[in-house]
Amino acid sequence: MTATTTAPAPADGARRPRSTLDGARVTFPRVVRAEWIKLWSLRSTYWTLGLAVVLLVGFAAIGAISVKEFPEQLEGQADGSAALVSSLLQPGLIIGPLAFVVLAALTVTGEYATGSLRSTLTAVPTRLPVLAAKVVVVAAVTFVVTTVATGLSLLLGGAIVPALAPDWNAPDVPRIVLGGPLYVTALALFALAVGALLRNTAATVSLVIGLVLVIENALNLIPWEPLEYVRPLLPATAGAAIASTPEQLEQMGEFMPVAFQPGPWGGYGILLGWVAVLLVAAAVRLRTRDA
Amino acid sequence: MIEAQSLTKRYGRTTAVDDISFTVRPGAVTGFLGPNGAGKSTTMRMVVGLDRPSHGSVTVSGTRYDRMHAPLTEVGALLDAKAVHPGRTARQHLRTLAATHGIGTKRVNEVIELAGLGSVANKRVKGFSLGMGQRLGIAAALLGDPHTLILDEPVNGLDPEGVAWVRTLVKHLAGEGRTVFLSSHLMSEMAVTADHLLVIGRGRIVEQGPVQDVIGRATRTTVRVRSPHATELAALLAGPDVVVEAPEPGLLEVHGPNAAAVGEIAAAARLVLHELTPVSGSLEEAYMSLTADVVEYRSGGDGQGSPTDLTATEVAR
Repeated sequence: MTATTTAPAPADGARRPRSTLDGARVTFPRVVRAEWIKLWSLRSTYWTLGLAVVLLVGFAAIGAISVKEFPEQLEGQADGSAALVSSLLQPGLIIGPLAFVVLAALTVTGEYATGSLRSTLTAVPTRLPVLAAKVVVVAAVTFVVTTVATGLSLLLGGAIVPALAPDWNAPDVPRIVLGGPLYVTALALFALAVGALLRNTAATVSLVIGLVLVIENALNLIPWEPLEYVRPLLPATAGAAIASTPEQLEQMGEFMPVAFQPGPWGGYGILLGWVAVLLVAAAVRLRTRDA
Repeated sequence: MIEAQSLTKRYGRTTAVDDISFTVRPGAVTGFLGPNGAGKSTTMRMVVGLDRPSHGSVTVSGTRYDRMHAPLTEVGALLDAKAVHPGRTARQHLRTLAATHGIGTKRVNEVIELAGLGSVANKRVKGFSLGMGQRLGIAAALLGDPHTLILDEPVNGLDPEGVAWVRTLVKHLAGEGRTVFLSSHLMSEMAVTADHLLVIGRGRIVEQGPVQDVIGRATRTTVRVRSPHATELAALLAGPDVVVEAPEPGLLEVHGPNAAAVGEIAAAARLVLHELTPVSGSLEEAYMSLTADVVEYRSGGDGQGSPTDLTATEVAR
């Protein structure tokens, strides 16, 4: 059946007017579009993003409920202050980013694991636009989804305890609110770059999650003086400062001494610096190695 | 037109492709024949820029693949049917490739129909048979309506209908003036599909040309002679380029002279012949003799240790 029905078909397919393919050439927006289709055509994307939203909003809800049950936590804090808003949002930022780490790593390592990267690079043989497009798509999706989850957290928190609703005019509140999505987005790109270097899902996810949850905390707690110069440069610790109040940073400095305190934006800059260095290394590796 | 110049690929100390130069011309199906590990896939991967040559270069229509603005419209390649994320559907896979070039849904639907994937296009590739995977790979190769097609073992895993389909398709595409470069380990398939052959062994081109010429050159002429005077005839035929075997009394297999020469020698000596049959070589024989030569050549040519040791090493690899 197949032979008889498909044998004449090549004629139609091959001789079809060329107009269908007029203007067919690789452009960066088109490569971004291809990466966009790729991301949304995998079930793992929906799972990881769903999990991320549940974690971010769920931790905020638990935090709000605990404030409602033990309202003494509100004492001495102005309604909607940065301290209250961060007490609502920060718990989610410990575990929530890990779902994005998995998603970002998979966009690269999933292609190596399945071999689909060979198809991708055959379509885009200059290779670098593929990495850049993945960065654009992962950054956009992570930032938008985290921002939406943050908005839901604030609405939910304000509904449970009105004092937790942000006062946008209070010092540091806009930075604390947007700091979460900015931190998570940078951490996702960090994982993407590590994935492009290691080319292996398990290695990438365990390295990045191990760094965030274990290695950095260990280095922060080991009382050894030379570590004072290392701590400010730890990517996740430094980056998380963008979502921390000045008081929190000061308190952290007391039991984890640092040689210098880069501040919220300085710390975020350090995380972005890590991302930039790793992405450049990933780009070099992608260009020079056989696929 | 694919042109390779001194193309070389080394992996550490192993040389997979060893300084090969060749041209694959448009308007014909060129078969790329060689045993496993001979360097076929590596060569094809270098054509589309997946592997970087250690030395030399290869161009398609005069341009390096990674310098093309619309590579899918120049070259369609099926290098590995598994180069697909199993979690995507066939249609989604083709759409992602098409999107990079701004190729629309219409063309995606065309190649789905063309490859006979209509009924499974919206199923995830995870559940595909090897044959369906090959059809998807061919659909992807045809997506950009390319001038050049590079197909690595395209009939692998296809049922007989699929094999016939690929054969018809590649001949048709070549008939339209496209360049078709096709590798296969099925030598019988090559004999009926390819117009030209490029034979590779141990990373080197050992033979190339029209299929019939390659078979002719690589096969020693063999003539089967049945005669009551076999022993006398064998003595008369003996010479420097002649090998005479006697598998049974009264039967000779003569390698070297053709049937006419054997008949004339017999007539001159007034010897009766009961049979005089030229035995033509097959592509398979040609292939075996060509690749056997390569092994011998390489074993002796390394210039270290005793030839026996080297042969053992070659075999061990």
